Order: sequence, then structure tokens, then C-alpha cells
Amino acid sequence: MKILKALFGALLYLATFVVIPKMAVEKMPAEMMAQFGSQETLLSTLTTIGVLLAGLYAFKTLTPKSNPANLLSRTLLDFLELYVFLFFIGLGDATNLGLAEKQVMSAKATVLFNFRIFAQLMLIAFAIKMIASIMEFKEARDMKK
Amino acid sequence: MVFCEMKASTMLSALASLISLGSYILLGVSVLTVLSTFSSLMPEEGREPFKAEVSPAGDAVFSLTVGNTGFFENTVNSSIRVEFKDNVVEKQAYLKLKPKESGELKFEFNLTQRQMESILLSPPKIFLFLKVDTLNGLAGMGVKAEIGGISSK
Repeated sequence: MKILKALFGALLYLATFVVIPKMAVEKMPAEMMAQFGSQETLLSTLTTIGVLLAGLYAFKTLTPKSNPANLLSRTLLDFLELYVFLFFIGLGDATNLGLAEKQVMSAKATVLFNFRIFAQLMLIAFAIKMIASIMEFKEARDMKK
Repeated sequence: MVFCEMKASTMLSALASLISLGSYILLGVSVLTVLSTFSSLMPEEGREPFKAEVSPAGDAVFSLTVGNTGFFENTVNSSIRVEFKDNVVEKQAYLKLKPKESGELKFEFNLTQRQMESILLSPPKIFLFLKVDTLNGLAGMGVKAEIGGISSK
């Protein structure tokens, strides 16, 4: 059952970050794509993230919760998910936390994005997930003793 | 004790998932709502959202028809800046749009004789700033662009 769950989850991550972006990139206007850098860079970044997420999810599912490696993989998984979210709402820059300003059409126009509220909500969710993960790890270790 | 901790961790996990899911849904709906207003600015056959008229007396009217086919209320803040050869005029307009509603942003200028003359010599540059906010201003998108020049009729 655990193997099936790990396999299904990993495939879902691969589909989301590898297959769907490849299809989306072909249909996206070139002007919009330019905001994220070159197509190859974006696709290879997403593929790397997708493979990492798939691997981490499979590892997290297959290892016992009392194992410190499980806690580490869960933390990394949640962090990567947060990073991907911030990367997209920040128009290719995760550090601006949802407040982006980009020049388009060869600097003839400027596009402004203000999605900071969602960045803040996701950061809160990440912090809660961390606390929950640590509590679950501690609890699993206590039960093992 | 273990039971209590287990309950708390499960509850925290569920809360985090709920916040994440809620954020994704709200973000999607907000983007669709804001984009609906921006897409209403695209000219279509038989519909010209942007109009600019200048009368020989110097009354200039720029109007922008915007709509909201999204799910939340939108607020549209806009300003227009006309750069003449030697001076600049700027006007602001504001509009609140409920879902399935459309409205018109109107900018009225009273151009001086000097500005009218400068139109004949060199068409002024027009810059438009349009910001569409939703969720009571918590999220939004804006655009600053040069929309072309005007010339006398």
C-alpha cells in the first residue's frame, strides 16, 4: 500500500512539473514566456524540481516517521513546494514574495503583480507544517521507545 | 499525552493543508477576476474600449470601457499622463466594478491654446497606468504603458 502511495504521489509530481509545463510552454505567448527567462532554462528548472519533489515524496512515504531522514525529506518537500509557489507568483523571482514588477514588450510597458497576501498565507502554512512534522516525528519516536 | 499530541499534530497538518488549498483557490479566482478586467480592454470587432477625442475648442476626452466578468468585486485605479512638447498634464480616475458589471473611466482635459498648437507640431505621448485590485485591495495586477499619441482632427 505504501509503495502504491509513493508511486502515485511521485507520478503526480512528475506530471505536474515535467509533463504539464512542457505542454503549457508550447501554448503560452512568447511575451509571457520571456518573463521567466528562456524556455530551456524554465523547463530544466521545473524538471529538476519535479524529479526532486517526486523523489522526496517517495522517500518520505517509504521511510518510517521516526527516522530523522523522514523529517528532513518532509521539510525539504514542503520548502520546495513553497519555493515553486513563490517563484510563479513572483514572476520568476521567489525572493520578492509576490510583489513583482517586470518590463515587457521591450520595456514599452511595465506589469505589476501584487499577490503578497498569498505568499504570506503560504509562509504561514509552511510554518504550521513544520511544527506538525516535528510533532509527528517526536510522537513517532516516543511510540517506538 | 501521546493521544493529545497526535491530535494536535493531525489538526495542525489539516490546518496547513486547508490554508494552502485555500490560497491556491483564492489565487486562481483572483487572477481570473483581475484578468477578466484586463481582457475587456482588448479591442474587438465593433467595440473599441479606448476612445480619445479632441475638439477644436480644446476639450479633450479620453475614455476607457472596462468590464468585470470575474467572481469578486474589482477596483480599477487609473491615471493618464499626456506629455506635450514642453509640459505634462495628468488625470486620475477610479471605478468599482461588481461581478458582471462594466463601466467607463473618463479623463477630461481642457487643453490650452498652446497645447493645441503643440499637437499640430508634434503629437503628444500618452501614458496609461491601470491597476486592477480585488479582494478589497489585497491582491491585484497593474500595467503602465505608452498607448500612443493623439493628433488634431
